Amino acid sequence: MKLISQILALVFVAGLSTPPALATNYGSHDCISIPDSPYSSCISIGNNYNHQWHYTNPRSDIYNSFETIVESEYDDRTQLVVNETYFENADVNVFDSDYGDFNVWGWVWCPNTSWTSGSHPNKACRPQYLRFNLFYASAFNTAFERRYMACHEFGHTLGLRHTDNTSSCMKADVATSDALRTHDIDIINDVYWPY
Amino acid sequence: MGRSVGRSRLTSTGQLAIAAFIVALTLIAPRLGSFGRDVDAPIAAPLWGWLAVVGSEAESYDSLSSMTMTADAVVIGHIADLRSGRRFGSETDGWVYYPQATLRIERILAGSLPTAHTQEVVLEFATVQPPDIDALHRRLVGMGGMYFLRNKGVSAAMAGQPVERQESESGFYRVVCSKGWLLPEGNTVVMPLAWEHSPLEYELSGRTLAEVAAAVQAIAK
Repeated sequence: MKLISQILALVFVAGLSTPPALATNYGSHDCISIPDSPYSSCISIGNNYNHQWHYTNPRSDIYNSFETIVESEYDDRTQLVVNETYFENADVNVFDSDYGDFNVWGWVWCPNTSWTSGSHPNKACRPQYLRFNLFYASAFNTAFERRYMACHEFGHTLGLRHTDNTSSCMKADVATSDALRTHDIDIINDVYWPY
Repeated sequence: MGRSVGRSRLTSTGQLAIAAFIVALTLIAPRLGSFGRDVDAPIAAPLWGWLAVVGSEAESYDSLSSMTMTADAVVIGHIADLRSGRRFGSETDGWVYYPQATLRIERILAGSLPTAHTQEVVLEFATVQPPDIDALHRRLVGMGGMYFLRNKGVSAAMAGQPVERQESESGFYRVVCSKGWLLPEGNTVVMPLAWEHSPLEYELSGRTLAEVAAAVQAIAK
């Protein structure tokens, strides 16, 4: 009985000392160990707290939602410095177009011409390419949906993964929130602002 | 007495060791979710890196029943041919490439296909860089499996595309989502395009293609 009490006490203390961030939904995708993967669109993390973006030939309503979200959710609510820049300087280059029907309305990938460092699950990439697929026109109908998509895909450029939590824009498949939850913000701050 | 004390000390040491072990596990366990166990490791490596696109899916299903009931058709078949296909996008915005396979249909398990498509359909895959068609041809042609098909005309309607686009797309098919292609591997099935673990993967784990086919037919009844 005494042993069980000791163990429970230690487990409780240990639980308190476990960092909440990094425990879930963060990290690059493992493409390195996949044999013959010339085309894979693996998600990477950013290279530092200064996360600059450029949007090429945007559709105005998507651009407006994107700009709103990266400022309100990422620049204002995290320790990141997020701003718009030139194509050549960008950490994230954003595009939208009708990319046809392959069941994907948005994706982020690291072209094989980009700079990379580290290894999975901490593989960084610069620049990353973020694309919105306008084939799925109905998915971009409302400002809420556009903000959700911007929040979701921009999160991927920082290494945020999917979550089942409906209060986070990182929930996959269904737009239940156009905002980061505190857990996502803690992850970003722990990773990119360890000062 | 001395022996008794010695046992007691040994027991205490053992207790401490066990406690330390449990504490270590507690400290490590939360990280295993994202680091120790690779949650995004490919579920089936052979094709994942070639054709899967890590992205946000318009359609996604987490159970065999929902995927079966929603698909236009669920078929057993094999890839008889593969060639370069269409591409969408632009020079400025980048391209998505659509290698086209001829999927020869052996059995329709659920749903239905138009009369013109009951023998074979044009199944499009997608890549975000120009595909090596020869290499894909070598890998894919002859490959059999179970396909949960979406007619692209139907998909265009779901996506809000105009009628002309729906009609021009209706001659092509894709799998309903990244989990919509099952291949036999040993005594079980794998999802070669899936890039994220899901409840469906666990539902199908350990089941043979024949068992899944029977389940699909039962769902469709």
